[in-house]
Amino acid sequence: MGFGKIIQSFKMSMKSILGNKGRSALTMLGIVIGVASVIILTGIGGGATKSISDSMSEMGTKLITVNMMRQRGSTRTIELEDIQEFEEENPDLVSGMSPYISSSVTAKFGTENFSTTIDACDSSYSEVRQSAAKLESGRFIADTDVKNRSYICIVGSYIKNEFYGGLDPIGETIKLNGRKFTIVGVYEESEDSTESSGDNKVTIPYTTAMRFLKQSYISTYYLNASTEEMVEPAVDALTAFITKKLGTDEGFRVSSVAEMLETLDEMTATMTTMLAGIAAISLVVGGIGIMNIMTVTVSERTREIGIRKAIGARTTDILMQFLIESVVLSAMGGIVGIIFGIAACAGAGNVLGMETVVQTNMVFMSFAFSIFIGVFFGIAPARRAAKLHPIEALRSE
Amino acid sequence: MIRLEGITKTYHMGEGYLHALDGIDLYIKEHEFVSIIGPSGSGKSTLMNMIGCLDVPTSGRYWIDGVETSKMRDNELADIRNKKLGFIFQQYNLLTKLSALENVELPLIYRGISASKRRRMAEEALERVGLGDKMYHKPTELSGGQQQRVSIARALSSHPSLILADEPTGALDSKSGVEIMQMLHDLHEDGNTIIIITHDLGIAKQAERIVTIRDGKITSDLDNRNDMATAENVNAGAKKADLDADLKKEGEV
Repeated sequence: MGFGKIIQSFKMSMKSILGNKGRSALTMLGIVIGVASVIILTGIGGGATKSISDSMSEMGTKLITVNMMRQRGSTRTIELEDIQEFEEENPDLVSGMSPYISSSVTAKFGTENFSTTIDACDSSYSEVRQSAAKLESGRFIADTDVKNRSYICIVGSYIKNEFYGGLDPIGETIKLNGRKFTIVGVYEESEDSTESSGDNKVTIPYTTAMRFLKQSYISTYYLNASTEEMVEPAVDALTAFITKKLGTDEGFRVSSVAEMLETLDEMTATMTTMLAGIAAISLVVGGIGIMNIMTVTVSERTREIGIRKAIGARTTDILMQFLIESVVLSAMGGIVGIIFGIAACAGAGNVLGMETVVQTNMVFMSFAFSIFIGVFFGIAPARRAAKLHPIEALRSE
Repeated sequence: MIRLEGITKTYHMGEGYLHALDGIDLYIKEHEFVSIIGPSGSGKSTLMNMIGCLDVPTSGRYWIDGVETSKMRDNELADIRNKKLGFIFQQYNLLTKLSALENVELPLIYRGISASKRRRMAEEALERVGLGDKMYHKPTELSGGQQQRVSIARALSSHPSLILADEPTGALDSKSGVEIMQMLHDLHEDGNTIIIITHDLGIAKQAERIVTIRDGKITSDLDNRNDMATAENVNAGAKKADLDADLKKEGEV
């Protein structure tokens, strides 16, 4: 089977496909829908994943979180000093640590009461969670603030806009649960400056918060891994360290954003495979359509097959001719499906405001699969054609 | 050139057997112009399928150009048909979606000849049959006689050892029929070996040699040029007069 013959078979199949445009288009439709739905479904899935992982990455890919669950009857607890000890012992693994307290309080400005969230942390918080502590003006918590348990605070853009008319509120005071705090800094807008957003927050020194909120125990610590590669070893070392201190590996959790991203990736991969699998079913249905039409085509062209065999076409020549025809059908369906799928993804992005990310590997995979479908479902009719006896084929009308 | 020895073809028909060919011995030399004549059901179509390598015999042996084909497999037979045989069918058997030129090129494609060379060969063949100006016409745009000329060109294009014509004038009006026969005569003059299978005595008589087949057996084999039976005549002593009587009887049937 030379290359020239394959070119010729390809030309013949194009002739036959174009000679029957309506039928060919309907036959391809199944593949078009199959490929397009694979691309659209995985594109939407990819978009959802991207928006989740983007917001997670914003937290910082080097971030490690320690959560302590206070257990009744436990003889030993992890204190700030323990975490500090770990930090000092492992300068190669972590750089920067901050305890963290979060609480909901009532803030009062003039006569107006509103509810806001307190983030209480150390001065190094601005390094540990850089993206969460970007200042528009003023300064962050200083070491002396922590030491002196100063009543100072940094406010979110919601508070600035709502109560200070968008003017710089530095030096002004705000009442939190009845205590006066001096504003020393303002955060950059992180979301949309509404009351329910992350811009409605107040950050104070953790030492102040412990006294002010009457908390004697800190349950959350943020640590910054020295590099992204050190995240995993740091998590492991920290887990071992706390386990040793507590004498048990229960009652606490050490987690990292990287780890969560990994879990998310795994979940996404599973979901994408599932979606692609469901969409692939329609590809298989499309393949059955191709097989159906190819069977009809072979019956209709029995005489042609007879003529070709009489003048010297070998079994493989006939087989390849019909196989190429079904593969060309499915491949054309695949290409049209890819165009539709990508256009639909772009349309969903622009018209519906939905974030979609076309999965390039899925584009290639669905195309490859549609070719496979063409071969798989084309082989039976093509074999039937190839095995026809020339005399009987010539006799047919 | 071609030699058949004790060729039989038996079909299983329900309980019994049908002997379509029943011990055919035939030898045809190069450059001969032979007609095989017989009524329908005589086995002449089966014989043509044998000679044309479209079918294999139940028993017996068949050589074409010294190559034994009776035990060949499908693909080997396809190659023999492609290289050694040119078919001319009653119904032309052209591919309607292809132009005259593409139809003539078809056997050359299966032979694996390069595009430029096969185009030149096909053009030559079409010019040979006087259709040089109709190369890009589809069969449906041509008259019956022209279509048959395309099919002759297709048979010629690959320079076969043997041209096998099955009722070549059967579907044509008498004028076109005469033209086609003239063309076959010309091809014979050029040195081609030609076998015509027909039930038409008028056509059969135009050949140099007339082989009559009946009930799967060769009943006469005459040299048409000198009214004498050929050496291979199985019914030794048969005369042209016997053949005429034979065929006349058939006409009455």
